[in-house]
Amino acid sequence: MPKDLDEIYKRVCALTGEKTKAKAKANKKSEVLKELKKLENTLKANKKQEEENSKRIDEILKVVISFANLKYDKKARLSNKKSHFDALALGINMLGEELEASTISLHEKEVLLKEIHHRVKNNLQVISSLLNLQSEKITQPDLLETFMESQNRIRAMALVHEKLYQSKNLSQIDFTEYVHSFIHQMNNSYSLHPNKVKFHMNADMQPHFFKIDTAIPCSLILNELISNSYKYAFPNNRKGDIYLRFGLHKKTKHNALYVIEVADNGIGIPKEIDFQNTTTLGLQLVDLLTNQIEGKVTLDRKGGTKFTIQFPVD
Amino acid sequence: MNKAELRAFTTWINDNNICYTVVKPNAVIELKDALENSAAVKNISKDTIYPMLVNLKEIKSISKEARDHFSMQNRTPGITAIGLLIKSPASRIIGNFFLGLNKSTVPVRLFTNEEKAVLWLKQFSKE
Repeated sequence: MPKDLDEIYKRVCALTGEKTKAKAKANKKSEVLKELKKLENTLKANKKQEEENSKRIDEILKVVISFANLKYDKKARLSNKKSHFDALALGINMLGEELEASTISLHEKEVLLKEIHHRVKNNLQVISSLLNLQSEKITQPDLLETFMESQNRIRAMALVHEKLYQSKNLSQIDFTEYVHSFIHQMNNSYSLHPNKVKFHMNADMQPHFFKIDTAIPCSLILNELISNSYKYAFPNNRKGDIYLRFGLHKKTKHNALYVIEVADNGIGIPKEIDFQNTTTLGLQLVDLLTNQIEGKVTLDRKGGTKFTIQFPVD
Repeated sequence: MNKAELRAFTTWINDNNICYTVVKPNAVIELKDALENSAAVKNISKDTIYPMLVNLKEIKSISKEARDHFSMQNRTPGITAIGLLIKSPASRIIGNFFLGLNKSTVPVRLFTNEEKAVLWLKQFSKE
């Protein structure tokens, strides 16, 4: 090989080598750039996915919140990606459909129950009115009184049903509110001598919710005791007072009893009458109904008559 | 093998005396599909009552009416038990609905493995 050619070859080799190195360097740079670009795209996609995920969570939460507000017509969006979010959205939508169906039937039941309470109240009022019409023909005072007692008992029960269909959950009534309405009704019944007998009420202002099983006996107990005071405590135009106390009596933190107390400063129950062993229907009812609510009745004869009924909280 | 090819399902009675129903990919099951499937099962099973393997793996969604139909239908059973084959998140959700909300009176169980499902269903086979 001629000397100059050898020189040229060497120079070419050197040059090619350098070029290869430079090419490799350039290639590496472009690869790095490519990788960087890929990384950038991945980051962008991840960020986009994260934003999309947050959006889906917000959408699903909005639907859940509307369910909590008993609005079941909202639906979570479904995409075609078959992701976990889609499954979750599908489940939420299906749950909404089930809730909507059961809420409608719950609503229907409520309407029916309301209607039943309304009808029971109306029927009781009809019975009371029939008794009233019949009593107009009665001349015997004893019989007339019996009719009036029956009417009052029926009206006391009718008032419970009236409060039930007006109540929010249809199974319980606020007995504090009942007591106030009952007293109003009772005063109208015994308004013949309003200036003679004064009624004093000390009822708890807190609402106390009673189920029908407790409310009906309590209403009848109230009716019997207050009627007795009106009828027998103040004979011969005697003036006096009737006191009613109703509320929760807390003995300890975990031991509380309801108290219904009806007192008067009248002539008092004759000493020979044992209120728990008597032939009087009213007092028999008080004893019987107190047992029904697992309560205890006591009588204090000092300065008149004071009946105290204590019974456990439901 | 008597096979029913429906819009959303493929249904047949297998040699192992199990009624197979495979939900087609991305099927959105409506009431008409559910009715069609019930009729097909009745038709191909004739008077015999089989346990049923429902492959929900590729399901997309199912309407309330269709769910109600399946749960009502299964209260007067033409089948002895149901094994639900699940895989995708959506199939898991739907499967669990049939277990907890749209209940059936016949035994129902979820499976991710077909062999295990068949093994469980075989105890309900009447032949």
